[in-house]
Amino acid sequence: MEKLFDPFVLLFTAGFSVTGIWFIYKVYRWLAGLSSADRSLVFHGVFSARLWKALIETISESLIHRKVFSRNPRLGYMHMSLAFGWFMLILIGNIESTWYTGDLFKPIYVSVFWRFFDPGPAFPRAAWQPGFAFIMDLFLLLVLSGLLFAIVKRFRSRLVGLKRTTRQQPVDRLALTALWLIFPARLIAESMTCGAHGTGSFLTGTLGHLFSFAFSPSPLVLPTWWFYSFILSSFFFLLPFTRYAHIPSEPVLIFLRRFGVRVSIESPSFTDLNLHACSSCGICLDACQLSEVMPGKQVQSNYFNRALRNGANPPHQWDCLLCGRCGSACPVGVELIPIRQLQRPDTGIGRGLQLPGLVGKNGHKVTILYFAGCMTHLTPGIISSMRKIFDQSGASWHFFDADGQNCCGRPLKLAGQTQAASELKKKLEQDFLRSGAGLLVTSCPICFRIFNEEYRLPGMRVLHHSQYISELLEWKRIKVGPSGLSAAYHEPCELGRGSGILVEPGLVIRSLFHSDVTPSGEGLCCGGSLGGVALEPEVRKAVARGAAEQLTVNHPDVLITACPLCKKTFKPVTSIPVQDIAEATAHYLIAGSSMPERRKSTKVLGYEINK
Amino acid sequence: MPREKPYIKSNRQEIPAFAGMTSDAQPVTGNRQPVTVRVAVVGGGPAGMAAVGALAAMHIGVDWYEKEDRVGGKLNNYHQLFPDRVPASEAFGQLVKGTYHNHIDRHLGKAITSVGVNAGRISLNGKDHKIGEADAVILATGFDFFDARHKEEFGYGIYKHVITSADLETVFADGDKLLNVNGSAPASVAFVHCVGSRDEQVGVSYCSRLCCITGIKQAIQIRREYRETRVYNFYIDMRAFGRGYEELYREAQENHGVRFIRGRVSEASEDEQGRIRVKAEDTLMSRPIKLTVDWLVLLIGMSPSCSAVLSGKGEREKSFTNAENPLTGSAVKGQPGVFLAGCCAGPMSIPESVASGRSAAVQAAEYLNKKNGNSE
Amino acid sequence: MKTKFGFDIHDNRQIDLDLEDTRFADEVAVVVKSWKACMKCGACVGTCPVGKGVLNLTGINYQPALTTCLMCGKCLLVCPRGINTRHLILEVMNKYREYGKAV
Repeated sequence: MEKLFDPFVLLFTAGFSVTGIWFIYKVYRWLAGLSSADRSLVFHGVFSARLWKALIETISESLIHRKVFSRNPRLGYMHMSLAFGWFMLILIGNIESTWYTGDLFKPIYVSVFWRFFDPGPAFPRAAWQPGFAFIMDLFLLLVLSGLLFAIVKRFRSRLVGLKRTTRQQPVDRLALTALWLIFPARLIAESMTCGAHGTGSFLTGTLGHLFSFAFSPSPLVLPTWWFYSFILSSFFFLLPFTRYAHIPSEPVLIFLRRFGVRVSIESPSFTDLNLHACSSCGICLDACQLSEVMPGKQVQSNYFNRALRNGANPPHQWDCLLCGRCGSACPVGVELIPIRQLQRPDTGIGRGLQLPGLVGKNGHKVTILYFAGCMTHLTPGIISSMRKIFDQSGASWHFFDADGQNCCGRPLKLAGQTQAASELKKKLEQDFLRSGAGLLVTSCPICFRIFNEEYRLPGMRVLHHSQYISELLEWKRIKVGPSGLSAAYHEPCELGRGSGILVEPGLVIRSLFHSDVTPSGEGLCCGGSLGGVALEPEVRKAVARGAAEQLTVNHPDVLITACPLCKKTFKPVTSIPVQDIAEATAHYLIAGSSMPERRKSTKVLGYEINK
Repeated sequence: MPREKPYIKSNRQEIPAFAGMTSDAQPVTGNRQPVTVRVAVVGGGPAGMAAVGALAAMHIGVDWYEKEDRVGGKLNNYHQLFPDRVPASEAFGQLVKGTYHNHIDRHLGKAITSVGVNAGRISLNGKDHKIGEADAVILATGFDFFDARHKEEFGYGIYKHVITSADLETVFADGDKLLNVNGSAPASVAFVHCVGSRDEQVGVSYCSRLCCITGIKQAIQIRREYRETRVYNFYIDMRAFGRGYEELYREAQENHGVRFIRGRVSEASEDEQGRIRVKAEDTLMSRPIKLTVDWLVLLIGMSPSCSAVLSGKGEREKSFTNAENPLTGSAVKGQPGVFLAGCCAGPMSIPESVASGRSAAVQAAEYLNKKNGNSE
Repeated sequence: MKTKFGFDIHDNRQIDLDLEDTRFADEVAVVVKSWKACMKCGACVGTCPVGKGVLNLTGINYQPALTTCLMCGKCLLVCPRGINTRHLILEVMNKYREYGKAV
């Protein structure tokens, strides 16, 4: 026990040093590449409760993989057993070696190869003792069981609940092989040592006992430890260049995200950190609807991230619908959609714009501005329904884009034209505020999202019409009769997942139809999204058909949506009538439910005129 | 769906030619000879009328099925027929004359939803039961008008002043007036070509062929009735292919001052007065157009209604049925004894439908002769 | 040569197809295959919220008007031939940027 060294540890030490140096360099680069605003967020975050929250999240996500578990228990077990098991092996190994050496600052290899230096108490007496040997064997068993799942997943992904699994690059395959061999190699090496010394617990002890029956393990002890060290070192040599870079990167991402850092053009290094934290687990493959209609095309986020990390041109970059399903499914919380958006180059479209100024002519003030949106002009049914609802509720409102010559700027943004989008934003902000309205209602979730997220409109509330209708119903400003029909609800991506508007559409639909509709934020994409710039119409149609089939699986009388684009996309692909939530409301309005005496009031619905 | 016509002043008159045209109004011709074979004709429109007349004239027994309670099909709703502006009732009269024959049994109000070929006999089925049997079948199920509500951007069913060409034809046929929101003659009317034709957005790749000439004819009718009304036709390509069509096109321009603008209308909106604002491009000038009209008329295309009968499939799988050798005959592939007549094989004008009906009758007769070994 | 009588045409608007250079258009068509299906119906221009006739699909070249496009995608939804107009505009701009000038 006095000599805690053998030449084989050098292999591991070299490999581990590569990873270590790389990681320290990377963390420096990630922090240095942040914008000064983001850096101060990090600085303040370190001295706040957010640090502890980040620590807890690191344990629950990086080790236990709680999110994966909640999505897919089998896959969760696989990730948990490998990550948590390995972590515990390292932790307990460290404690054990420190316990016996009494030296906290010994070289890392001492605890890694501890069983070689100290075979432990004699077997079988020690086999069932709740000592270090037992605990170490328990976690090794856990890891090995996870490994079994991993191997099954690679060859029969459906058995672990995944339809598809990531297609690997050669270097990833090499690292994967090394990873797979680490634990069996450890098992063999430890069993060999235990066999030679007659020690070990239920796993290593039993196996070592069996070995000693068949042959003399002593001459094989050193070669097996050499092999184990070699496998470990190969894995660590490869780690920085493969998807396994996520192992050290993920905790860093969790901490910075908890401190409030987000993907932005100002902090390019944070995008790099996100990319490194992507483990290519393949959960986004099944979330992506394009997997069905564009089989074999590597359009999904894990491929996108990998290409970007390798400095290559991301494949199918303009095909992605930016629906956000992958982003909400991602167990690591990589900001997949913002990363994609930043990669779309600004080509100068929209910069020559000069939009007509509107509203506020002759000092005419209104309480509510109605912004239909470009697309809604192609679905006049929504506009006429909104007219009916506004008039019935007795609101004083103004149809802002009656001539259809305005745009919110989000389509430009989705196409990468950020500069033009922000110019447009500034222009519209001014126009909105000049009107003096206290409320802005829009019919288009695309407009709603950018109004809600990016527009600075002090004193003005922004509502999507589904929210507005829900409030009108709640405050009994309008009354609707039950339709007696059943309905399915298609959540528009930008409204449900994108903006988190889930409760209100559900309320409106439940008051109209007898279907128990509860939007979940995990809706499908209709295929019409403006994100998919390059997507050919046939592919869009195929996405729409697939989504419509899933939505109408229970044969509802009507398919309700809350977006003009979704409505337009679904109409040709389903025989079930497609209606906007506003149309359904207007159709079942009970006349005379508004209070005429308040018709002229400026304080309709509690929205004050914005001075 | 019956359309609300608030601004249309109803002035319905009994049109003399239609009066008394019931099944027993005409003398029944032909001797009731014993017939050994029977052919079923599905559909009572022009093609069906032509087919039953021709079959009876060849001494073949006919079972004639029509889903409505009167024959004539869409001809009943038409006012005047292009290019000569012959009253539809006159054409109907000529066609229906041949159908009062001892060999023809009418089955009105009977909708055939599928046909089944089985060992030389063909069964005709309704929604849930068998309706009849025949040795050969001529499908003359015609077409459906494209449902203009599928092109929501034109606002049909949403704006009161957007109507289809079929609506306008009933306005003419009923002698109704087409007035503007103030109750006076319309200042302007615009026709939109290719609504439900040549449009991938609604899954229609073909040209319906007859809408161009319908637009020309109806534009002239409006100009004849309201001398001051400006009439516009927004077209992608003018396809005036038939006898007298090009002449009518020229007449519309020269004598009636109808303006033809090469550009597809992309959307319509309603202004405060209820007038219709139209956006398009004059593609020959390369400049966008804005126009406000009192009425917007959508020239709706033809949708197939026949393959549902053939295959028993639902509404969504509709398509025009291709004949086995479309250049030389109208027999349906894989369904011996089934022939197509009229618009179920593709958009056709009335003379084409009539010719197609007669042709199918001859082909059915040939088929039966061959099958029964009658080599005369 | 100045004519002594009759009309003198100052602005020659003739398109000389003999000298037509289609390289730019061909390169765009490799990426956006559907644009060759255009039947020049003008629905895209009619629906355009910018209202200036942004798209002129008669020849795919860089046009200054393209810089006023809002990318709203209305043209995509009204195109009877189902042409991916948004992609087309983006690709024309990309190519233009690549070349640094209109070809």
